[in-house]
Amino acid sequence: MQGLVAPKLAWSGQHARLVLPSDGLAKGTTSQLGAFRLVSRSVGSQRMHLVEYQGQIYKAVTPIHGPMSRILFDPQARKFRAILPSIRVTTNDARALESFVEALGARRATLFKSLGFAIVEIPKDMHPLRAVAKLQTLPSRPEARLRTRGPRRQWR
Amino acid sequence: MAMNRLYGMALLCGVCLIGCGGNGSNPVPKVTIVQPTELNLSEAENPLVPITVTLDMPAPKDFEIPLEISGSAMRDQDYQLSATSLTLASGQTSASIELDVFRDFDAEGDETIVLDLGTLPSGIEPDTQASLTMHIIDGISFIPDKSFDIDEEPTPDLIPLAQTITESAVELSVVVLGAASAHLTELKVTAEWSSDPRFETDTHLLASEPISLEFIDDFSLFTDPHHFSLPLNLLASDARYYLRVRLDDGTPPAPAIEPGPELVLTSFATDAEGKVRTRCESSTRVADPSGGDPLFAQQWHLQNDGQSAFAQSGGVVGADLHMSNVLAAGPDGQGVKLAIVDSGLEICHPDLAGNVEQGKSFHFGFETNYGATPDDPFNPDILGDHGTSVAGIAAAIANNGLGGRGVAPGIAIRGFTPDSGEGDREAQFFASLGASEDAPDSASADVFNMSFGVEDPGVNASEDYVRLYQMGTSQLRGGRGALYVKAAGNSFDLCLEDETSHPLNQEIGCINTNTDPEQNLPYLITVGGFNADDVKSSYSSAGANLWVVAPAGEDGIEHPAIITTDQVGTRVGFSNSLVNSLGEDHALNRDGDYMSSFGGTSAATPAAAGAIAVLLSAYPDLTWRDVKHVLASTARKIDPEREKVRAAFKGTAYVSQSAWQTNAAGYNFHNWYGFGALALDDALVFGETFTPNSLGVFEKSPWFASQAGAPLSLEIPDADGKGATSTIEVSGLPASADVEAVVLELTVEGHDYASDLGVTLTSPSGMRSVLNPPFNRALDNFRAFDQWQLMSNAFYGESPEGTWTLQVVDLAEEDTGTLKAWRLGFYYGEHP
Repeated sequence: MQGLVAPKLAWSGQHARLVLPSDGLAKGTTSQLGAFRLVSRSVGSQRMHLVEYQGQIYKAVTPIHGPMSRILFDPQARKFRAILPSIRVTTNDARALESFVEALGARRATLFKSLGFAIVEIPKDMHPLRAVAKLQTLPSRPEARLRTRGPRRQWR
Repeated sequence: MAMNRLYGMALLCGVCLIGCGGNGSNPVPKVTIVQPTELNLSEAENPLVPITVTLDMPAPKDFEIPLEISGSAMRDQDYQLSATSLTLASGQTSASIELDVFRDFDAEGDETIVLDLGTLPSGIEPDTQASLTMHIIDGISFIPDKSFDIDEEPTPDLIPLAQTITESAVELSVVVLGAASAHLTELKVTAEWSSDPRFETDTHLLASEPISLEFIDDFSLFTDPHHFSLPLNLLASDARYYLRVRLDDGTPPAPAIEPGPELVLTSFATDAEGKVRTRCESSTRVADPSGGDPLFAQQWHLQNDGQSAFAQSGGVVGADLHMSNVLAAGPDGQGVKLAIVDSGLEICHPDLAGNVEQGKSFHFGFETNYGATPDDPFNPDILGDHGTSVAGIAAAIANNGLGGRGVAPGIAIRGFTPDSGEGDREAQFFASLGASEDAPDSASADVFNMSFGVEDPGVNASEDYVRLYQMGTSQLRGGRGALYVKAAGNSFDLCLEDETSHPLNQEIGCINTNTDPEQNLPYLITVGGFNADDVKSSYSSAGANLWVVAPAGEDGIEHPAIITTDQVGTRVGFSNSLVNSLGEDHALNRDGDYMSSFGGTSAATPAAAGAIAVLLSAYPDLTWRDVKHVLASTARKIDPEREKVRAAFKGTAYVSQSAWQTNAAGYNFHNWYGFGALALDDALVFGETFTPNSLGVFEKSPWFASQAGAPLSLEIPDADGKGATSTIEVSGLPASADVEAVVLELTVEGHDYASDLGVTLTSPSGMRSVLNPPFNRALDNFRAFDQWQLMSNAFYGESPEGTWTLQVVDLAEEDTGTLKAWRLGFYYGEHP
């Protein structure tokens, strides 16, 4: 498992979102990151996160390991959101995308040339934030971002 | 001097001879307060009552008649008077002022208003009726109940992750997400299968897995996926089966076939070999070019002559798409390519197949459906295929002796099924909406039917979707721009039976259309629904970002819904549902290929998409903005007497929903209807003289911010109709700029219950638009707004220059907040 030991900030436009630690047991740590204060610890087969933001406390429970342990706190929606096992990479170059896929060992990638980005589906055991960081080690340093699971579209 | 004094006395005497009265030769006018026709005034009706005084003769001079006001009702709290005296000009016999009785939701009991004539000026006397007592009959009182807290009353959702059909099994993966608390410790995820869609008989347990929780406080819950597999060797061939996964708290589930947050339901049919049917199989129906369309006579949405459409009652004549000329000999959508972005599309349906573009459809789930092919977006679910029914409204073939007909029966259609299979769902939507040239080819579509949506309050459209729609409207259709036609939503009546809902929700709806982030982008045509009575469909969501409404109907049982195509065959599809009057037992639907109860704004959207296709087939050079312009210019003002929704909070009246208004550019607008009901014949006539691409360059202004961007810190008074107001001066845009959409970005801090808040924007011309109505239930428990963007179409065609006024009100006790910042962005052109 390529998880995340410490919380990190990830930017979505002008908004910083708090990526919570995942994929592993934690004894209980308190961290302050930007406008967020976080307590995260594991109990039994689960992990508990308490995020304090603008005087309010938000709580979440996740599994210890695996894709559903990877969540972030979105301050704009005041919600925790599951992080998708894919990243968005700015590119419209199919050959460059191939190199990103190779570097990440990605499962699949879809290039939207007319939109200037691709969605790269990463290995399920890799934390997407690690995938983003890995791309930064490439010479081209492509811009890459996390993606989160939003509410599902309903046929209406 | 003496002469002058004598002359003056004589003159005074002469005046008295004419008008002074009292001595038989100089009558004094007598004043009466006229009794209104109704003295008992119902507060709930928001009455405006004229208060009139009359004289028994023309006033010999100007008089000011004062009123003394008393009674148990409080002036400027329970009611307002437009003046406290009445002015009778010389020669007049009557004068009026206006009494405005405020509707409020306070428990006050009935109250009185007493109006007495005050001290009258000389030369006028009271008549017998010098006092007036009116009673205000108290309306509903209501105190919002905020004790309901989603964090304390958990409502976790069961989310389907994936469905896979293999050669030997049907597999379903779900995950539990949502709020959790103590009682969830007993919760299980249980999977069952049955041959009975209601699971009342023949129900088999597949598996039941407990949800393990060590925490018993209120938490957002993320769980590992649960996987269930139903082996096909347990099932019969040529049969129908249903598989459900439910959150199981130990109580027996109610028989239900409606999926919801606590139930994931799927269904399928097996073939002769016992495999799951995953491909569309051609039917044996024979088209008859001389057979007309047997169901056309009941398709009120095309031509409403009061028919019942298999419901218990009919509608009103003319409540339709106003397309009689098109039906007679008009264009039929030929040459226009429509993408149905939906749950599926039966490309072999006998009433659709002839309009399906061969090889252009794409099934994203084909790899996970054994036997499926990529170009056949067949939906194996046998409980109805939303996409197939959507398609028929736009594209069912005309005059083939089968079923009804579509709005654009000459159109070419293709179906895409995002939200299926194992791939990334968002990538599937991008690929379906114009950003892919191959597998699928969506980039060559002209019109996208988007009968779907999401409610995600406080959240803005993602940058990637903005980019998608910008690309689609600027690059597709040879640069003229694709048309994105989107369903407004069905959440108007979602809360109306919930006793915690505010009474105003009955009139302004439960969840507003601006709660769908993408609908706050100008590139979409957001479509609401109206019914066969020419009034908004009871469920159709309202909002300032609507463009037009199109036929959607009601339930199809009591009142007409939409007649359209259904999954091919008997014992499958929506036609097999209890909520459908055109069942397989009906002579006009023996094969089960049609239904009469399709509705929702999902139905209005293909009606509009079909109409747009007809328009484009007549005028292919129209750009996407031209089409919007034509629709706005020709939409029909329905329900014209619909009154504004107004109530007082702490003595200040607030209009939560305006009546129909006409903006400074002459466009009618109402939050229930946008610019009105789509009128296709009129749109075609308008198109005859409209020059394509004549609306000027589409521009987006820079943001105009309050106080040059400095924080405002305006306290929003609690439970008070006054609210906080702020203005922005807009200047520097071209003098000839015509607004096409206005986007408001709003930041409110500190508020813990954002559904208390109403947001209204008023343009320099005085046009008023409610961008977020109060009591928007999507915002219950939502904490403030952080740069939330809301759009209004109400200012279309107006000049952006001048002073714009924002009002943010808080209409419920408890929870307060501060208006910190707002800014406006304008999309504009230069209209002829």
